[in-house]
This record gives sequence, structure tokens and C-alpha cells, in this order.
Amino acid sequence: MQRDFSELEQEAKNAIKTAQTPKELEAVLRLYTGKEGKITREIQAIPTLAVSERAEAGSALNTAKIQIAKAYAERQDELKQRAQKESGAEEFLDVTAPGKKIEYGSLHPLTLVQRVCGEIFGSMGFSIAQGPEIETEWYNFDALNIPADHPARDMWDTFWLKSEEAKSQRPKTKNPRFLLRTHTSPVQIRYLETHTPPVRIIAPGRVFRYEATDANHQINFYQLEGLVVDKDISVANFSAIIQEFFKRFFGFPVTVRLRPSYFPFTEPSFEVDMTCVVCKGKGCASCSHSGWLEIMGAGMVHPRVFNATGVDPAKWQGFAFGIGLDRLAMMKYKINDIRLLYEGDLRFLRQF
Amino acid sequence: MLFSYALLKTFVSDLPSPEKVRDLLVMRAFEVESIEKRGKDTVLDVKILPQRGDCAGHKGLARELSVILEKPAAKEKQRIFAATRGGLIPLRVQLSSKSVLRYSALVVRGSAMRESPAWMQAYLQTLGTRAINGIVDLTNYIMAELGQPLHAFDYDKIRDSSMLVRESKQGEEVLLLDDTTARLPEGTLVIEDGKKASVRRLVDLAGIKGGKLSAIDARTKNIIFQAAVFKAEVIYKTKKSLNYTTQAADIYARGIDPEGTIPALERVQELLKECGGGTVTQRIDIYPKKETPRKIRVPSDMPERYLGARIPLQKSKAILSRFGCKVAGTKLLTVQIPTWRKDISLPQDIVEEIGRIHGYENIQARMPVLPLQCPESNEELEKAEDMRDALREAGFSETIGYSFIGKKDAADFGYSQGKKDALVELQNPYSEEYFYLRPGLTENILKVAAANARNTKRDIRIFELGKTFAKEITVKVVESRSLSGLVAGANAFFLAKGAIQHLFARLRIAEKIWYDVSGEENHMFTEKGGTARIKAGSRNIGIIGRVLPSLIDSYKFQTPVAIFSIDAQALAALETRGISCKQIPRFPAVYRDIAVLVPLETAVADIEKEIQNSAGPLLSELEIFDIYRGKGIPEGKKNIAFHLAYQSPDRTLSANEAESLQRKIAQSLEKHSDWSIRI
Ligand SMILES: [Zn+2]
Repeated sequence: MQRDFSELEQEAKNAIKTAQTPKELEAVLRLYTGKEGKITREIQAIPTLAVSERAEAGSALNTAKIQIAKAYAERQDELKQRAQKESGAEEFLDVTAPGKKIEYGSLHPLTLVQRVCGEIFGSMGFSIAQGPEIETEWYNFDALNIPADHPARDMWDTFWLKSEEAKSQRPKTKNPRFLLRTHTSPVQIRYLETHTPPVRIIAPGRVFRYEATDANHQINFYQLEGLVVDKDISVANFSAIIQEFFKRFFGFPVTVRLRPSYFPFTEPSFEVDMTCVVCKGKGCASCSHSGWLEIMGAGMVHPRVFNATGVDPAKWQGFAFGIGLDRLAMMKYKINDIRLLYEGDLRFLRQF
Repeated sequence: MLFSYALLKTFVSDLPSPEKVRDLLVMRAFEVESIEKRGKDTVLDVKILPQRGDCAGHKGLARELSVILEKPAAKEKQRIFAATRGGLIPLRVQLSSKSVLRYSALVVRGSAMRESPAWMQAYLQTLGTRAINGIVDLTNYIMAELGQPLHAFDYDKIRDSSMLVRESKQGEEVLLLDDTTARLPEGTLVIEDGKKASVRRLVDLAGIKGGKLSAIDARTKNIIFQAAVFKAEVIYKTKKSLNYTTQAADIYARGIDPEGTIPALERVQELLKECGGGTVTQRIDIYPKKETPRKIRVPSDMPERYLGARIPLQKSKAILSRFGCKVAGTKLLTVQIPTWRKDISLPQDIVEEIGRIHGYENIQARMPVLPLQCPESNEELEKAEDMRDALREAGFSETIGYSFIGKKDAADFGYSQGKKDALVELQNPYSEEYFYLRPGLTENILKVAAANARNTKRDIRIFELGKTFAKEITVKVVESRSLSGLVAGANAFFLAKGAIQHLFARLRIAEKIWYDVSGEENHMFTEKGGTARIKAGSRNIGIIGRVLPSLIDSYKFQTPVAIFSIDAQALAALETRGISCKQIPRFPAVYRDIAVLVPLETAVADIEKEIQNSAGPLLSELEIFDIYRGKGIPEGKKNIAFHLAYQSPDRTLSANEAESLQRKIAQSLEKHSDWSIRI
């Protein structure tokens, strides 16, 4: 004989709905699904049924039990809310009132950009190296194949430290004059002096130029140097790595284009253009309608740089590059004046 | 450097449009700053790279364009170069300096001063050079055309028809064409006339500017045309030390081909009749060491290995021979470089020539195949980032300032009183405002905060982490990493202190830090009574304090201001980066409060120390939750309330045990006669 449990289920649900206190509700639940409950007893009786009926009865009873538990939970919430209302604890919750203010500071955009660069290059196996801001003439110029009395020196307007200061720490062998480094390239020399290739580094840091300041120029700013030295590193590899970097940094498929240039410490040397971030290469006012932005200088490490650091240029080759981090930050965050980066105006800084 | 499109066209057959020329130059050789129509001509402003002296004239740039346009190298036109002797005493030229690589000249008799031809004036006008007279225009035009500087002397003004090119002695003076007098350093190239010492004069600042004493003028009839080549470094050094330059000096400083003097003088002779005429009576050519073409060996696979692109050997060879190189060999190439390419001296230079003419855009980007290699960690940098994160969490905004402080700042902050020596000075400071290297970060941070205070009514919380510079007693310049912060607001000091406490907690060094108030010295930025030295063990690592009222006034702050300044390197050295977990206590703590009424000037640190000492190891937490003075508290006193927790690692403490500890603490606190317990 087919047993119908839906009536029993309905009876239980009605009892739950009409329970007026949590205590009453508990009693109702016990009456149906407790140890001695009506549903419990039916479940215990399943083995006495004909074999053919057992499965169906089991499944029906189980469904009833679940439905009862659900009704119980709903009623429990209703009773709780009613109790709260009656006690007056939550008379009116104005959900439109502001939450408690969390005081949180901000990091400088140049810090953020350096972190992003570190992560992207780090994911390609680059370590981060650093060097001093006060450099010797030797590290900043001579070792980078920029001898004194060479017109190439004119490419860097240099702050020199007052000479009495320099004299006293004049090392015998290397050029003794002190200056504020004009680029991060001396880190290449310092790193190659102390490490054996293969080498894969970036070196972010502050650099100095004695030049007129305006919306795009500052007497101190930030650069990121890159250096890869290995057996078989080519211009094609440089393009691929830097393209990947820009793609991740700006978040859209960037292509780079190399043009001939001249730097004493690279040969061949390039000027690197990238797809304009404003128009994505279609041409706009920012890129003089060319679709390209000039972004950095790069080249294959000059054999004289290797010679200066005791690396054999017949065995090793590689590329080096230098990017302006201020420019990257300005492009990424749409900052229109470099001075904002150094003036400390919180109305600007709090946006980061 | 300005180039006339029309003049370039005279050297290259089928030269494409000026815009196309620009595009080719940009992608294959040089940047083009501008392109502009001037009359019928178009002028291109080309940024000739500093190592390319060979492109300083139209002929040279045209040669470059021919290579790019895949035209064969042009053959040098041979001209007749003859002198008809007589009429003038032969000029005697002597060289006493090795820096004269070649000295060539023509002596012309009977020239008539007149204007240059219209076509020449038109070119000069396009190139922005003022037309002066036939002779000057001729030298200027040929310099523009061939890139070889020329100079014209009035033959009759040269005493004894005798010239000596020598190096100057320190302090010698020469009167220049523009009526200025140049006082020379040692080793500058000059030309002296006269045979006897008593009549000798300096008549020319060689390679840079002509001298007044030998200048041509309206009555000049006999002329010396000089086409010389001087050592680039010497000319560069002179123009730097005199801080003076001319177009000729700029060309010389790049380095040019000594083989170019004779073609330039031949051109003078060719054009002379249009510019005043005359007869060439003498040719002079002193060439101490003939320039021989350099030979460079290049492995034939080197261009491909460097560039990472397939370039057939045939193509490489073709490019090089268009440049005027002679190429031999197959596996190991021997490349003979034309004398005008002084910049090519290494195999890598050859790679560059092949690469750029092949076109860098034709090199496909390709990732290198390198062993998987984890980057080295950079602890110094990572720890600096930890500090930044901690202060940001504490509600601070990071600023980045200039590495300089002003002359006035130095005085304002009291560096002038004996401390100025500690400031690092520059040989060439940018301005009074950026005069010394910053000795700390506080100077700039105060200024930044003051500027912000004008824009906001909210609390200001800023910090900077960066390099600072000092001169030590040994006069050695020391560069170190500092961390400074500032709070301006009603509760400035405790906000600042809270921030550094958070910082120390984040770096897991809180228990190593204590605040020393025993010092009697004055501080540069903070009140004597409102300053603590931040110490780790016996080592000073920084300072925190309330900013001096005089500074608050001068910077017009409307609220109290507090600053801290910490040696970031010392902080990094203290930082503990590993986490080692402690067991969660198995037995519950017993919580009690205690309040003590003390005189206002009592340091809470002293009370804490007393409590800790008397309670012993079962005291697991001690926290001040209230410092109160005012209503209900006697004048001159403050009430300090603590939360305490007692806990044992191996049993549950009873209420009785807690009470007895409370009594023990109370007794020991009350040993201080002016402290009283208010439980
Ligand atoms: Zn664009």
C-alpha cells in the first residue's frame, strides 16, 4: 500500500507557522522530527514496509524532513526580528548614512610605477639593482665610454660637487671628481664589476640634470635602467622584451619601433618609439599625428663598457636601455605636468 | 643643422620629395626637427648625431641619402688645381702643434671685393646665414656645401708673410673679429704672424673664430683661403673653456676628414671668379701624417647575431660598399673604411651601419631563449617598500621632494651656526632655492606641509623616504637613506607617535624600540621638552617631537605640528622578516583594570615599568585606555587608567591570584608618595 506523507508534512508546517515564541517553535520541531517525533517514527518504521515500497517511502519522508527544517528556519528568523523590533534595539537603520571612515594614506605615483616595473620585469627574470646618487666621474662618464673633452659629454648637463669635497676622497686609479649621477647607467658598471654574466637587471632610481625646468623637465627625476648580458642576446630580443613590458604596463597591445641614434655606451644605439597611448596608433595631437611616441633610448652594450668592467666582449653581448619613470607615470595616470610629482600637493597625491 | 633641399638635390639624382627625405632620414639616420618651405626651397633641420662629422655638410648628408636610396657611391670629381706663381712674396706656414692634422691654403692675388652671386646668396638665406661680401659668403657657402670650415685672411695684414700655428700659453689674449678679446687657457690653437719675436701677434683663434688683425675688409685685395683640420678634442676643449662657439668650431669638434681640405680649396678656385676673382699664386698643403683608411675585421655572422635577423651576406656587403667601404672575405670580412667615417672603428659600428640601412623595423621582435632564473631578492628595496606600506596604512601620504635645500633654508634652520659645514655644496648650484644637497628630509617636508595647510582644514599626514647627504668630520660626503614624516592637526604628536608605533609593529621590531627623553640638547626642529630620541638598544635611530613654535609661526600653521625622522638604513637592519608563530594560550586570561592618580609631569612609561616589574611574568597585557585630567581630578594631577590581563601558560588563574597581583601592583605604585591608586 502506498503511504502519503504530505498531510503529515502540511500539519507540521502549519504548527511551525503558528508557533509564537522560540520555545513553542522548538517544541513543535521536537514533536515532528525529534527523537520521538512523528516523522522520525515513520522513518524508523520503513524496514517494516514491503520491500517494493521502502525506497519511495524513504525518499518522501526525507523530502518532508527537509521542508520542515526550512519552514523552521524561516519562522525562527521571523521570531528573532519580531523580538528585536519589540525590544526597540534597531528602531531605524539609516542605510544611507556613511560608514565609519577608514583613514588610509597613499603612495606616490613614482613609487607605484617603480613597483609595477619591478613586477613586470621580475616576472621575466630581472633582478633589481641600485647605486648611489652621488657618483664619480668615472662611473658616470668614463667607464661608459664618455671621455672628458668629448662632445658626447654635452648630452648630459651635470651637477658637480664642490671640489674640496671631492679632493679628499680621491681614489688613485679611478677618476676622482664627484657629481650627481646624470643617469642610472653607472649601475650597469657597478653591477658588471661585481657580477659575472649572465646578467638580467633593472635599476630604478633618482637622477639629476642641470637644466631649465618646465612642465616636462626637472632638475631631479627618475629613470629605470635595464641590462641583459648573455651569450646570444640580440636587438630582436630587446624589441620583444620591451614590447612585452609596455603591453603589460599600459594594458593594451603596444608595438615598438627602433630608430638610429647615438649613445657612447651602446653600439648600435636606438631611439625607441611606442604606439601612442592616447590614440592607440591612429594619430592624434599628443603624437603629432604620427601614431608614435618617443619613449626611451637603448642599444647593444658597447664593447668598451664591457672592457671597463672586465667582461670579455668576445664572449658576451647584450642590450641596455633607460626609460624615464616620470614620463611613464605621467602617461599611465594622465598627469599633465611633471612638477605635480615633486610639489607634494595632497589634492594630487591623495588620488593614488 | 639646417639643410637646403635644393642644394641636396644637386648631389643626388632623383631625390624624392622633402617629406619623403625627412621620413627616410628619421628611420635610417637622423631625427629631423622640422621641415619648412622657404621661398622656392625647403629647409630641413636635421639633428646630425654628434659622432657624424662627415654629415656636417650637404655633400655628406647627400652621400648618406644615396646609401639609403640604394644609389651607388658617387665618384669624386677631379678638378684642376694649379697655381700661377708671382706677384706676392710666398707665404710661409709653420706648424708647431701635433693637433693640426692638416693645413691647406690658397693664396689669391688681386681679388676685387664685391657681392656674391644671387644663387649663392639665395642658398645662404635659406640656411639662415647673412650675406656679407663675396669672400666671406664663399667660405660660408663652401662650408655648408662640403662640411669643411674655411677661413679667409687678408694676406697684406700678415706680417713678414709668415704664419705659425701653435698652442697658446696660459693667459694669452687674442682680439677676435667681433671686437671681443678672448683670454686663452693653455693649449688652445692660435695663429701667430711675423718672423721676429718683437713683431709677432696673435692673428687667429684657429678653428673657432678669425682674428681682427688679419680680417678681410673692403680694401682687401690679396687673400689667404685656409682649409685646415684640427684635432676635435682640442677645439672642443677650447670652445668649452671659453664658453664660446661658432659653426666652424662645432663642425671641428665632431671630427672631420683631413682628406677634405683639397676638394674644398678646389671649390674655392672654381667659384672664385663669381665672388671677386683673382689669381691663385700659391698652394700650401702641410699634411704631417696622411690619413690612411682603417681596416676592420668582422665575422660575417656578427650582424645577424647582434641584430637577431636574417640579412643575407650579399645585402650586408652591398650596404657597406654603398657607404664607400671596400669589403673582402666571406667568413671573416675585412672592411676598409673611408677616411671620412671617423666614427667607424669597431665591428659593432659596422653592425650598426648594416642594421639601420637594412631597417630596424624589418627586425622581427623575438623573445630570447634563456634558462629559467628567479630574480635575486633585493632586501634593501623590499624593506623600504615595507616602510612605505606601513605608513600608508597609518593614513600617511607619500611625498617625493627635491634633493636640494635653499640658501635661505640653511640659515632659517640654523645651519649657519657652525653646522653649515655639514651641508654638501655644489660647484654649480641650480639657484639660491636649490643650493645645497638636502641634509635631511624634514626641511622640505615642512614646506610641503605648510603649502598644503593653506588648502585644507583636515589633518595633514605626509612622509618621504629618500636619500640625504652629509659631510662628515673627515670631509667625506656620506649618502644615506632617511625616512621622515609630519602630522599637522589637533592631536599631531600622538598621531605621529601612533604611526611610528604601527611602523615598528609592522617591521616586527616594536619590542626593540624605546623612547629616550634624557637628552638635554636643543633640537633643530622640535621643542626641547617635546622631543624623544627613538632608540634601539643603545643606538639612536631617530627622533620624534613637537615642532618648535617659531617654525609653526614662520610657516603659518594653524594647528600643532609633529615630525619624526628615522634612519631608514638602521631601521632596515633591525627589521625581522620571518614570522615564527607563538602557541595560542591554552588557559584563559583574567582581566582587571587599575587607575592611578599622578602629578601631570609623570611619564607614563615610568608607571608602566613599575607595574611590569611588580606584576612579574603572569602579566600578559598592559594597555593604557585613558589619560584624563579636568573635572573631578585635583589641579596638577592626571588620572591614568590601564587594562591588565593575567595569564599563565600552564593553568587557569583563579580570581584570588589576580586579586593578589592587583594588590601587589597597588602597593608598589603607592610607594611613590605622590601617586595614588583609584581602583
Ligand atoms: Zn596619438
